[in-house]
Amino acid sequence: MNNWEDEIKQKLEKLDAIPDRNPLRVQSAKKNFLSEMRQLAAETTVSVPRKSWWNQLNIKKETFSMKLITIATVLSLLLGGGITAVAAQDSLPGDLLYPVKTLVEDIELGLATDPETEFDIALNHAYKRFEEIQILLDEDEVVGEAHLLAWQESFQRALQYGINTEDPIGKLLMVQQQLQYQEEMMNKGEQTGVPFQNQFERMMNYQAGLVDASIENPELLASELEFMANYSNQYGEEKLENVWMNMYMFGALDTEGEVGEVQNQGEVQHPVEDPFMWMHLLGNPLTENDPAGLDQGGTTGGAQNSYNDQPNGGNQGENDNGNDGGSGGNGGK
Amino acid sequence: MSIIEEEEGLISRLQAFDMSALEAVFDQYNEAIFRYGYRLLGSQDKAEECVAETFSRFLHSLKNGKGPKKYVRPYLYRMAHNWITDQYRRAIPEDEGLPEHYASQNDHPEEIVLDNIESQEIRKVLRELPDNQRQAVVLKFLEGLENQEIAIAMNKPVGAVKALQHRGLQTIRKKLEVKL
Repeated sequence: MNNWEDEIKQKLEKLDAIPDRNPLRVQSAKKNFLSEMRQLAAETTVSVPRKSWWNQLNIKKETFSMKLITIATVLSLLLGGGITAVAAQDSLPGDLLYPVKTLVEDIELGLATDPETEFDIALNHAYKRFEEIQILLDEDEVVGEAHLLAWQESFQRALQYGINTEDPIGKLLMVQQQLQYQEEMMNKGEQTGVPFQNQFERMMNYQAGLVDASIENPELLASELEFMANYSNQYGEEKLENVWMNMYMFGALDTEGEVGEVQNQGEVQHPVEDPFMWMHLLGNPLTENDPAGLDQGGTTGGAQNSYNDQPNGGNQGENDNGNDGGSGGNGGK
Repeated sequence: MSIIEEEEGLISRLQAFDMSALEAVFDQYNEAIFRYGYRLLGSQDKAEECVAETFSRFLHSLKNGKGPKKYVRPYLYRMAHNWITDQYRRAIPEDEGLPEHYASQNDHPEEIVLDNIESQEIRKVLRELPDNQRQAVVLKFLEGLENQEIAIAMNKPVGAVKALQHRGLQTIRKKLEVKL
């Protein structure tokens, strides 16, 4: 061991001096923990209806049959559940009527006949999801992952419709404007620093980055959305959403056991900051055994790592695990 | 049996939101998370907040069908680390110095003050480290975790963790201008 290393370690030991913890605060911390635990235990998990939103890219192929189904549903709602459908418009995630509200929205979208209208409706739905989150916050209700995902889905959907219009850049600018508005509204609210807000902030940052970069090059957005859709088709929406939530919760692509080390893929910047993460991640052909390299949970050995803490792309090959030592990706932008 | 293996029996109970298992985890680790928060943020208030937020995230993750799949302690440290990193990004916290009731082994006030200044300096250097270097160094040399556990907490290979620790110490050295 080098002397200088010992010296540094000794200096670090200065931080070992931890003051005595106030016993009242220890009690209070535990009380709060137990209270939150019991509250969560008593809650039934709210499930926001899961729609195959990633298959929206294929929507054009199914237009005729979809229209028939939606018209049939509308008729049944008008005849038997019209009042319910109207009443559902003010419902919030977790309410009994909320699934009716989202069904009506799906129908509204399904009945649209041109890309411009589809985009307008989708963007309007994105705003509704944001309003719902705000109301839940105002009412001190729990905002769960499902609500956050619903918010993100609505934006992704607006982007998908937007790039199919004749003026994709104009539509992307509208999405950008709405995101900025939502960001301002969030910043006006009380900053509680609760985990939800951190996740939502990451989600907003990611979406804003994606839209900004797409305005410069809409074709990249089209490609990125296609990579996401392919991933969802191959491995399921749940897996795709798990990757998203891990990314927003931990700021990384992977969590222990669930989504493992990223290997042999294209260069990914810090995922939340990489607008075209999916394209970079899945740049290589997918294989059954290695779905995007995301299922490998190994923690030993020197797997190649796409992250790099050195801004200029330093080499991460200092590990001592022999020949498997990998080099860092090109860090920095 | 290592700490990691001992924790394995807990996981299925935690995934089932078993309240006695959850309480046991809180009892076992809240003090460690407090220390971790205090070492990095230098504030008792912030350290208490770190405990509250880490365990709140833990509960919500489990409730949403996420949470640790194999090991609890590295998972909690990772959540605490992410929360602390968020704090770093938000604002520079004031190091509150030593509280009045702080009991030092050293009875000389001037040395206590010097120790405190040095602690603040080191905390500042740690704060300036790249995120993953800081995590690798602090978990190893201050929290005393094994590299295998740190590898799980950081989701990196053990070799990469060692490399980060080495680079982290080098960066600290440069910043503190330690003389050989």
